[in-house]
Amino acid sequence: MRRDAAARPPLASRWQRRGNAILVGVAGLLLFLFAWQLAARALPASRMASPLTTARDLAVNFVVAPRLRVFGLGRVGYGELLLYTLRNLVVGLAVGGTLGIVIGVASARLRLLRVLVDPIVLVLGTVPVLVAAPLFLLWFGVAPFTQVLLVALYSAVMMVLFSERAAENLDPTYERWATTFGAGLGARLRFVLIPGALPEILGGLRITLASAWGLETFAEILGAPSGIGQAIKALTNLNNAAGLLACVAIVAIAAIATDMLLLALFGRITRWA
Amino acid sequence: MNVGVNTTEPVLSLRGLSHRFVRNDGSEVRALDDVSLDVLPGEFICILGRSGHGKTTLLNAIAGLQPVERGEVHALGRPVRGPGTDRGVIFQRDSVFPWMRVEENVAFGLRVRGLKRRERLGLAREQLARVGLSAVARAWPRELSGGMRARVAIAAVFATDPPILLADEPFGTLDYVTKRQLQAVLRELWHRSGKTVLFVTHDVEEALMLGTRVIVVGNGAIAEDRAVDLPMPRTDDDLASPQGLALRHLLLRHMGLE
Amino acid sequence: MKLRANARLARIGGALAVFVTLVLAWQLVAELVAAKGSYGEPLVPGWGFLLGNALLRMSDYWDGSFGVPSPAEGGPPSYAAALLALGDATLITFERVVIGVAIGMAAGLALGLAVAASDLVRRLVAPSVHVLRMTPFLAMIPLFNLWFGATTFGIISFVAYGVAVIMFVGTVNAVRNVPRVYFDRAATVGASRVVTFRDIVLPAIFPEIRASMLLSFGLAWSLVVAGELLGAQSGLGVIVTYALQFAYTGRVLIVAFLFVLYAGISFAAFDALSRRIIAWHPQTDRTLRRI
Repeated sequence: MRRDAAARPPLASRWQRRGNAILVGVAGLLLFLFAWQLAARALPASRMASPLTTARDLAVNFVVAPRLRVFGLGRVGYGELLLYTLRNLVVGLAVGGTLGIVIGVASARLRLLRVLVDPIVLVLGTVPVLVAAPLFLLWFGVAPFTQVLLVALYSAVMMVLFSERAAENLDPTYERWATTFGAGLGARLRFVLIPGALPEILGGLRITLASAWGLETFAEILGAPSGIGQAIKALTNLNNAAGLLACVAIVAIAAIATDMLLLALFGRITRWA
Repeated sequence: MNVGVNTTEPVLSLRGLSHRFVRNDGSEVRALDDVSLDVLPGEFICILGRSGHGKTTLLNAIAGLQPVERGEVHALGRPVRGPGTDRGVIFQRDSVFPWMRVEENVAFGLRVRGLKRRERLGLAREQLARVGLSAVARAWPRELSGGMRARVAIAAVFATDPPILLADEPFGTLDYVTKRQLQAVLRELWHRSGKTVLFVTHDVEEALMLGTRVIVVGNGAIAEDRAVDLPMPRTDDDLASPQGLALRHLLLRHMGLE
Repeated sequence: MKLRANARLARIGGALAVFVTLVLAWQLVAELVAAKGSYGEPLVPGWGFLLGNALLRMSDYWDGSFGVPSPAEGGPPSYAAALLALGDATLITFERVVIGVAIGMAAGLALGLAVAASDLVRRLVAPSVHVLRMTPFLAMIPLFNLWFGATTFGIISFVAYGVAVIMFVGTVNAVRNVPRVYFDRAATVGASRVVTFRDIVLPAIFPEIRASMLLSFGLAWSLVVAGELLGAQSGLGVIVTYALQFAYTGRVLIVAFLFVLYAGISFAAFDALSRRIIAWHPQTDRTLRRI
């Protein structure tokens, strides 16, 4: 009925909708900061700092943090410490992740490998990796290697699980079609399994990265020559709420940034999906 | 493509094919019950039957994708032990690889065979022209409609030029118009290539439109095996002829619709 | 049938073989590596040492109740004291996991359902949730220690927080993933919001909620372990903290083993229990044979 057509509001244009989305997003962000500010008001200064105070601490201590000199970290600021964390993270993730992907995809199709890999991976879940942290400290000492090993181990285990599942989740029709063209296992792995499972594998990599940030930071808090975790430890000992929040904030920002980077990168690689 | 000099030698022969499935609740299903069949080169056989009566199992057994408990399948004189490049398959579900462009999909079989890039892409583009998809050679499958993806699948299978073509309800999910168009495409390609085609369908009209021979599968066994003596290329009028109608009624009866 | 039974046997056999190999390999490495820590304990203790010395010395942590003497007060080290000490620590740790999980799941689920009901609220809350979710939990432990002190309450809060965040995100996603047609169908029969929620949304989101629950249960154990390792005063993790100072690798290994055991068993129990409830989730196609 014509009357109904006139009564309905006009459909928002694409730009209107986009502007609307940005508005709500900004409002949401302000809401977060507002809640933070309220918490800072409600709690004593020794326990909480306002967003502004935290931001100021972060800015001031980014290049050089005089407070941290006492803790044997040298003349560094939050930025340089974060770089140490990031470097360990990238190396561990790259090495462990690659290993995990290869093993995971292969064991999805090779039963013998699967039977060996599954029990090991199941045992080496997240909990054992965490308890391995103090163990590695005892064995390998306070060195970057300890943290990198931890991250690599975790990444490998996670990526085996994700890759196995990704390969399993791939519609078997694709592989069957490939076999009718005479493709053997090698060709199927290369042309079907890996490219087909790649979106889910890369998704798993993003998730692994997010947790790896926490793992690396945790390992540093336990014992490391450098890293943002060491800053967190130091600032906790000093009961410095603003500094502590600043370090946590910088880790959060870095985690979000690296996540967005991977999202863009992986989106480009799997733009066919 | 010529298959041997002696044209009365069957290109495909099945002997005593039997297979049972065990359902989740433990009960047995007799998917194939002592099926024997000879297929001559150049035939277009439509395998008709109700859902769950064994037509897909039969096709998969011939394709080598489904091992059977008893019986033998011979293709081109050789026993079938698994999938092979002598039997091309068009699946019911979307099998076109989403991560390859259209032309790469069509060239896939050739790549497995070891052809160089320029050669295989050239052949692929030829096939795409034959199914009318030249314009989307570089597109991603995601960007195509279901009907266009079906054409890509057809082009891919024809690109490797297998003597036998197996199709499992390839047009089942398409709308009527697209289905009719693709039937015409497939028929044209078959006619020009001289391949032997086994085409599974549950659509009586489709079977009558395409087949030189119709086989009805019921409860895992062959319930009917008729030549379709209607002129080729077929029109709707041919189907409405007395012969066509008689055949139609026969098939509908087998399907339980009359 | 036979194929399935064979596959299961192969899996169990494989797991056993791997387990035995690892046990033997460990002993081999223990024999080969003669290095000792700063207080004389081997860095890679063999099974004999672990079950003998390390386990026995756990009695150091016993406080002497139940008539079992405590070495701290001059009594002899005994397996009874050791097991009691470990049992006590286990209970403390378990308590933290269970309470933290319960609170976290309830809060996450309730908040998630509440927020998912309104699209505007969800979008307003989204940036905050994203920040909280992306901030690594483990990096926040010192923060929780600052707020609550490294107490049981602090650890429970930490676990509840982590679990709640995961459950919240999972719940909101689950509701968003409910197919639109279900809601359309409810609307065409004039179902109220309450009925729609109860009879359509809740059953439809169950599989995803279960997945989130399993995920957060596993996470909860990680959070407890990490939380206890970074400054708790009681529980299993604190044994590790003490042991680290003296390079008592044996004790670290025993606690590590216990953590893995507990987490594994409770997770398996949780999994089996929830699997019973969800019978209608469709299986994916498994027709491709493996080599």
